[in-house]
Amino acid sequence: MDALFSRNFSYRAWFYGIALIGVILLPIYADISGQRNLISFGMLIMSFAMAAASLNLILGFGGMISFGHGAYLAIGGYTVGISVANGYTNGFGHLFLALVLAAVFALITGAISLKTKGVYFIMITLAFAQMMFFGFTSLEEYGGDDGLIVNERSDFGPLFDIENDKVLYYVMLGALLLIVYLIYKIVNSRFGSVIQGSKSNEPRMQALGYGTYQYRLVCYVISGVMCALAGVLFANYANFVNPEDTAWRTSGELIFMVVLGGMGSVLGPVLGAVTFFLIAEYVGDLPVVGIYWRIYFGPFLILVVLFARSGIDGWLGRYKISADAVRHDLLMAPGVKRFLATAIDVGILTALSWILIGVVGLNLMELPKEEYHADLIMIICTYFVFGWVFVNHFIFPSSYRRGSVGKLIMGLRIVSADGRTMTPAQAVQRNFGQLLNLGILLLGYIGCLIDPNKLALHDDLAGTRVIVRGSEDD
Amino acid sequence: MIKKLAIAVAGSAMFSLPAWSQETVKIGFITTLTTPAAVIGIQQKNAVELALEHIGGQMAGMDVEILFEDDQFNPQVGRTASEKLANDPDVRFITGYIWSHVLLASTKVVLDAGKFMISANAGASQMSGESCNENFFSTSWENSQIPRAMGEVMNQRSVNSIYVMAPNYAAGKNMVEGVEATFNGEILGRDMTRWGADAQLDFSAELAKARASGAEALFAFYPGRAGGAFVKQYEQSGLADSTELFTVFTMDGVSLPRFQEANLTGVLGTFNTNYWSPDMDNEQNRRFVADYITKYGEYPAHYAAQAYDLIFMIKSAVEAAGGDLDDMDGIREGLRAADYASVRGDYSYGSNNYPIQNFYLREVVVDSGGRWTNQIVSTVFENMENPYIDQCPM
Amino acid sequence: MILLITQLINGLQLGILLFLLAAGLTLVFGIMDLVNLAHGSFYMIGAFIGATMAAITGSFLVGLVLALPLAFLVGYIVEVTTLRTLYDRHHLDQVLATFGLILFFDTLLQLIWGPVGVAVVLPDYLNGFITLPGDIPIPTIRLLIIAIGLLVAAFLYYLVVRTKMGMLIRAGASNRTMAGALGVDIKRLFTLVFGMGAALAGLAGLMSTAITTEATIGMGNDIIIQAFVVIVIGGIGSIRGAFVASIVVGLVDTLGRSYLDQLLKLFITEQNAETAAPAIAAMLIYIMMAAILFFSPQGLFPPKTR
Repeated sequence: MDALFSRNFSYRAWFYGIALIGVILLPIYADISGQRNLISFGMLIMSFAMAAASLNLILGFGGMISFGHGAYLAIGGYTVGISVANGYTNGFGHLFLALVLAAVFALITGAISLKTKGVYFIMITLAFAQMMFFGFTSLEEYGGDDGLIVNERSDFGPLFDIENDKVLYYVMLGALLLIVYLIYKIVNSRFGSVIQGSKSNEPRMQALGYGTYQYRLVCYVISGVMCALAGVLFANYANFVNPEDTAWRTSGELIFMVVLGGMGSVLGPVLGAVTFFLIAEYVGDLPVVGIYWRIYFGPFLILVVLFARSGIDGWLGRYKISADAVRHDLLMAPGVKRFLATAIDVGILTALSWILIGVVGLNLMELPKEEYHADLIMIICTYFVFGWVFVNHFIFPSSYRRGSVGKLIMGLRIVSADGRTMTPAQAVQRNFGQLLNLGILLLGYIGCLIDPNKLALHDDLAGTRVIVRGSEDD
Repeated sequence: MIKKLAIAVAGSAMFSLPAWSQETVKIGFITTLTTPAAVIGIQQKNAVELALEHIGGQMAGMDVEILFEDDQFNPQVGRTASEKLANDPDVRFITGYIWSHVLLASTKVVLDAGKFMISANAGASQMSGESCNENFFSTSWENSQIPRAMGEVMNQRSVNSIYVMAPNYAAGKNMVEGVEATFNGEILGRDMTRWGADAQLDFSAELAKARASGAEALFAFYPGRAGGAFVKQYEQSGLADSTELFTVFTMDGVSLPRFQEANLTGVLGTFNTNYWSPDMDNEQNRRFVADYITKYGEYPAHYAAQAYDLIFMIKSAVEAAGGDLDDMDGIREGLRAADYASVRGDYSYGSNNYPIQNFYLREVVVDSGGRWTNQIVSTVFENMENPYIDQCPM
Repeated sequence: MILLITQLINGLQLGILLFLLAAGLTLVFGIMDLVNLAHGSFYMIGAFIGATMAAITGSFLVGLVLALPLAFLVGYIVEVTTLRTLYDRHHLDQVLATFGLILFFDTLLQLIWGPVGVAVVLPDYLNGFITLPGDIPIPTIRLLIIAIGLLVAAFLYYLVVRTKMGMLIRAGASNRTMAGALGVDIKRLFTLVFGMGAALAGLAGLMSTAITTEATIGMGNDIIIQAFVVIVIGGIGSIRGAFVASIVVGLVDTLGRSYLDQLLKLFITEQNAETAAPAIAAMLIYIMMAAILFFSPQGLFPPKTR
C-alpha cells in the first residue's frame, strides 16, 4: 500500500456500512440511555426516507419532476386510517389495498400527466395532489380537515407485532432497505436504462424503438406504489393521518430531500431525509436563533442549488480528476505548517464569534423594546460569523487566492490535484469532508502525518492538495 | 437576553449531569409560537411565565421547569412535539393546546405514555364524552358550551333567525352544533369555511349569502387572525345595518387590541359569551389582570387566564400528593379537587374531568384608559353541566 | 338575482387581485424562463411595507402609492443579487432556490415586524359600501380594487402592444437568444420586467390587506400556488391569457363557494354537503387546470414559438 488512501478505498461503502450498523443498534442505545424519543425520531425519518427514495426513482432517474408525490403518502395513510376506523385491522389487507389504490391513482394521473412536459408536468401533478388534499378534507366522517386518528396499528400477526415500537422500527428499516434494493435493481436493469435514457435524450430512445411513454408510466406507477408503502408505515408509526401529507408543502419537502441527498443516487434521498430532519430538529432547538432556523436554511438551500448539485451522496465519492491530469510535482505542505494554518483559522473564527456574538450581540440585544428586534440583532451577528466562514473557507480557496487566511499566512495553498484552482464544487466537498472529519474525532487528519501526499480525508475526497506556495506554478 | 442564554447554558449543563440531585416538576406546554396564530400562543406563554413568577418558581419545594413546544398551528407538528415530550420520563404533565385538532392528534401518544394531559384551551367535544380519560383534564370548557350560552342569549333577546359562519375544523363544527342545540329560532344558512395553513380570509361570497338569506342575526366563530378579516368585511359589506353580530371566541384580549389598531369600531357594543372576563371581581383575577397588563401592556384573553390557572392547578395537585410525582392517584385526586384560587372564582370538576362553571354574556366596551375590552353583562348559565357527560364511561 | 350579481362582482374582484400577481409571474416565466416561487414574497413584502407606510403617513392611499416603488426596489435587489444566477438553471433548481428565498423572507419579516403582522387602517370613505342600481351593496374597497386592477391591465396591454419596451418583451418572450443577438440589452430588460412584476405583486398584497385587515407572515405562500394555476391555464408568458384565466379562476372559486353546497344537497345529506362544499369548491380550479392541460398541454394562449 503506497498511500493511506488507496484508490480502491471507498468512503461511501464505509460510511453507509457504519451508518447501517448505527441504525440497527439505535433502539438498543435508546433503551440503555432512556432516550425513547430516538426510536420515534428514527421512524419519522425512515418514513420520509422511503417516500424520498421512491420520488427519486422518477425525479432523479426519470427526470419527471412530480410536485404531488405526497399524495401517495396520504393514500397509504388514509387506507390504514379508514380501514381501522371501520374495524378492519388486517395489516396485509391494508398493504394490499393501499398498494392497489396507489397503483390505480398513479396509472390514471400518470397517463394524463405524462402527456405534458416540463413545468406543465410539475403543475399537473401538483393539481392532482391538491385535488386529493381537498378530497381528504371533505371526508367528514374521517376527520376532514383535522386529520384522522388511527387508534390501532395494522395487525400483521404475532410474528410482527408492530404495536411494539421497536418491532415497527425494524419493520420500517426492512421496508426501507427493500425499497432501496428494488430501486437499485430497477435502475440497473434494461428498463432502468430506457428510463434514464429518455430523461437525457427522449427522441433517441424513441428512434431506438422504445415507447418511452409506456416505460415512464410504468416507472411512475412503481414509484407511487413504493411511496404508498411508506404511507402505510407512516400512519402506523404516527397513529395519525392528515390531509396535509398531500399538500404541496410536503411534496416540496420531499423534492428538497432528494436534491440535498443527491439526485440520481439510490441512497442519496435517504441521506437527504436524515439531514433534513436533523437540521429541523437540532438547529430548531438552539437558544435564541432556534425558532428562526429557516433564515439560515433558506440561503443554505440556495447555496446547495448553486454550488453543490451532486448532493451529500456525491460528496461521499471522490471528486473525479482524470489520472493523467494529476500532477506529481506539487510540493506538499509540511504537517506543522498545516496545523498552524488551521490553528490560525480556528483562532480567527473563535475570536470573531466571541466578539460578534458574545460581546456585541449580547450587549446590543439589551437595547430594543421588542423581543424579536433583539433576536434580529443576534441573527445579524451570527450572519456575519457565517459570512466569514463562507468567505474564508469557500470564496477565498476557490478564487485566485487559493487558500483560507490561515493557509495564506503560512505560505500554503490549496489546489486541485491537477494544479488548478479548486472549483466551487470541490470547495464544498472539502468543507463537507472536514465536517465528516469532526464527526470521526479528527481521525481523518492522520493522513496528514503518514500519507506520502499528506492527504487528509477531506483532501482525498475533494481531490485537493495542500501545497507550498509557488510549487503549482508552471 | 443574557438570561436567555444563561438558561440555555444551564440547561445543557443539567443535561450532562445525572439527575440524582433534586427533582424538578417538568411540565410540557404545547402552543403556537410561529405563524400569525402565535398571538394566542404568546399570550399563553406570557401567562405561564407570570404564574411561575407568582408561585416563586416552586411547587412543593421543587423547582418547576416548563418546556414550551411550538405546534406551528399544524396537527402533525403538534403531535410530534407531544410525542417528544411524552418520551421524556421526567415530564409528568403535558399541557397547553390551543387547537382542537392539534389536541385530538396528540391525545393517544400522550395518554398511552401515562402522562397527565391538561388542555389549557382546546375543548374538543369528544374528550368530554366518548373519549374521556382519567388522566385528561381541561382548565377551560367543552367547545359547544360557549355557543350554547350564546344560543340562549339570542333566545332571550328574541332573535328569530340566524345565519351561521365558522371555520371547517373540529372546534368550528362543535361551535355550530352548540348554537344549534340551544337556539330556538330558525337557522337560515350555514357556511363552513376553509381553515388551516391556508385558511380562507375572503368572506365576500359567504357574507353575500348571509345578506340574501335575510337572517336577523349573524352568528360567527373566528378565532385569531381570521377574526379581523371577518369583522372588517362584515363592516364593509354593510351587513351591520341590517344584521346583528353575535360571536364566540372572536372578540377577546388577543383580537381586540388589533381591531382597535385597525379602527374596526363596529365591534364595540357587540356581544359574546365566555366563562371568564378580565373584569371579574376576585382577588386572584385582580392580581392576574393587573400584573399581566403591567408586564405585557395589554389585556389578557381567556387563553392567558386558562394557562395561568393551569400552573396553580398543577401546583395544588402536586402539593396534595405531598410532592410525590410518582403518586399518579394522589395527583389525579388533587387535580380533580380544583382546590386552588382560580381567576374565574370557584368551580368544580364533573366526572369527565371538565369544569362545571358559570357562563356569562360579555359586551365589548372601551375601558377608562381608552382600551377596548370585554365586560360582563349578565350570567347566562350557572354551574353548567357538561352536555356530553353522559357519553363518558367514567 | 341580486345574489348572483353580487357574487359575480366578488368573483371579478378576486380574479383582478390574482391577475396583479399573475401578470408579473407570467412575464418573468415567459421571458426569463424562471419559475419564481418567491413571487409570493413580494406580495407579502409589498403588504408589509405599504401597511407601514400607511401607518406612518396616516393615509392608506399614500401607502398604496409608496408600496409600488418600494416593492420594485426589493424586486430589483433580489434579481440582481440572487435570481440572475438562476436563469440558465433547470426548473427544479429554480423551484428549490426560490423556495429558499421564501423561507428567508418569511423569517426576516417576522424578525422585523414581529410574528403578529401589521394592521391596515382604511379611511372611512373606503371602509363602507356603495349601493349599485338594483339595491346591490358592494364594499367600496372591492370596487377600488377592480378599478385599479383594470387600469393596470390596460396599462400593461398598452405597454406590451404599443411601446418599444413591449416589443422587446414580446421578442424576449418568443425567442430570447434572438432578441439578445439583435442587440437588446437583455440584462437590463430582465431586471426592469422583474422589478415591475414585484411592484404589481406588492400592490396586490397591500390591496388584499385592505380586505383581510392585516399583513401577515406567509400570506403570499398560498396565493402563489393559485397564481401559478392561473398562468398555466392562461399559457405561460401571455398577459392576455393571465387576464382571462385570472377572471375565470376568480369566478369559479367564488361561484363554487356560493352555490356548490346547494347543488350538493341534492345528492348528499345537508351536513355533509356543507362541510364538503368548500373543499370541492377549492378543488374546482385544479380540476379545471388538469382538464385544460389535458386538451391543450400549453394552456389557453400558448406561446407562439419556443
